[in-house]
Amino acid sequence: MIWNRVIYGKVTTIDLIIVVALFSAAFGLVRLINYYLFRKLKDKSSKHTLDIFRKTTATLLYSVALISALPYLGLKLSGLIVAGGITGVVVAFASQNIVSNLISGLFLLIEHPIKIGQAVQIDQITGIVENISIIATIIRTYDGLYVRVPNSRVFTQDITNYVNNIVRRLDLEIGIRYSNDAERALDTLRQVIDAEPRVLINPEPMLYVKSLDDSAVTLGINVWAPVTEWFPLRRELLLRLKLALEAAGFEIPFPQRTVWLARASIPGDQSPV
Amino acid sequence: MPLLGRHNTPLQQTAGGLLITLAAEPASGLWLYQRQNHAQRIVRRLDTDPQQCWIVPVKPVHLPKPIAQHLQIELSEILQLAPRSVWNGYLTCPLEIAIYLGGRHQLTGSTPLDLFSLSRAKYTLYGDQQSGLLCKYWRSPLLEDIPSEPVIEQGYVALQLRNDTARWVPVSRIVLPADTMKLYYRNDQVIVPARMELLDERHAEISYPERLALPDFKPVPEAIPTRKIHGFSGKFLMEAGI
Repeated sequence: MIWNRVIYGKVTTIDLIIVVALFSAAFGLVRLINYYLFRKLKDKSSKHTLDIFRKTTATLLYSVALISALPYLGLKLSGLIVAGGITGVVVAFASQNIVSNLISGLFLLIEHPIKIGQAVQIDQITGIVENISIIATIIRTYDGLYVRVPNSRVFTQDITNYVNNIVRRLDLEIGIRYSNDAERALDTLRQVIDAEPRVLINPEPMLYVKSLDDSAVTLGINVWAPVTEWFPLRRELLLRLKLALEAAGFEIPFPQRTVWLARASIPGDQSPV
Repeated sequence: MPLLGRHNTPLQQTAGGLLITLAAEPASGLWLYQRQNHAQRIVRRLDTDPQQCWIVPVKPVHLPKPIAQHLQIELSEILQLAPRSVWNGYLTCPLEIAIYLGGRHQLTGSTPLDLFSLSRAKYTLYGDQQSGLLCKYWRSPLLEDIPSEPVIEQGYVALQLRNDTARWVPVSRIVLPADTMKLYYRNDQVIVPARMELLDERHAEISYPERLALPDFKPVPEAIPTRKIHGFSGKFLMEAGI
């Protein structure tokens, strides 16, 4: 019979047909699952996450098909398990960092502490998230550098996401002279703050005397702004506050120190010491 | 002649401190659009005669930047609404005006040549910092009626406040979503009809009536017309306080 014809060793034609059928079934299943995943998750997940799911599913199913096909190809699984066990230990030692990154990457995809396009700080690196892959996260720093951070580091470090909330507080400090009227200075600052559309009405802006320092009375300004407008506002507001104070006659002091020199008194000398 | 509506070119319109002109420039052969109000002057040059020009109000959430999708109007004094009562009145609201060229009958698909506002712009947060809404902010008195003299600096919200609860409910603000908002105009007066239904002392439902009960007011033509989506009521729930 043609079905029982030996191809090599103990492998017959029917064995080869079974192997082909197994891989065909795996191929069909991969296509079916990918189609189903795309239909169900296309609106809920990013293209990137979908790609990861697709590749993981395909790898798993083809691996199952391969392991199932090995006995039909005359390869004994018991021998492979022993060899695989030894190889596995070696590979495990060699790839523990990769596995750690891989698992961290999966958790990052599930937890979503950061998203592509967001401004973040991870482990002293500040910039825009360019990509989150299964192994590493790519950050473009504000000075244009490409930084690849392994996901295990992203997962274990503190993450500051600057744009996760829709509003953000801007804190400024301005010093005025001790001889200046602090209340009038606060009124001047308040007029600038009120005229600025990007400073939110609620949460309410706070203007106050923050500290009495060595050379200046420091005024504190805490205002809230839409997170998308925070940086442009920070860039412009301080200059406008300074100009408004100058226009109102206030001077921003520089550090100064009065030094009293002790001098031995000379009989008959009337000059001040 | 009212500022708002469709105009033929050349055009010269004034309202309040505002001057809008659209005319051919003999030296260059180009058409020149100019808007001047107070110290601000905007100039645009066009290569052809647009023949038609629309000056229309738009939903007041685009300026100074299109970062908000809601308008919060804070009442200058708290209105105490009696149990099972209805209050019909008016609030003021900011007004934004767009200039569109061409479009003899409709504006669909047009992009504005100019967009401006004479109203003071400010933003606020409605709700908490994580899940709240960024809103354009406006403060308004409670009005029994709209003034007969049109003012181009502000529009009006024709508000129906309904308290179907068995308690007195204080109302200090209203949040209007821009996506389903409808504007109407007559001469240079602009009205947004809105309905606020109080559910309890903290929650209210905002909706926009299909028609405006006031005579002579026409719906404002829209470049991107609002379409009714089947199964979507268009109602907005104020759940972070009223």
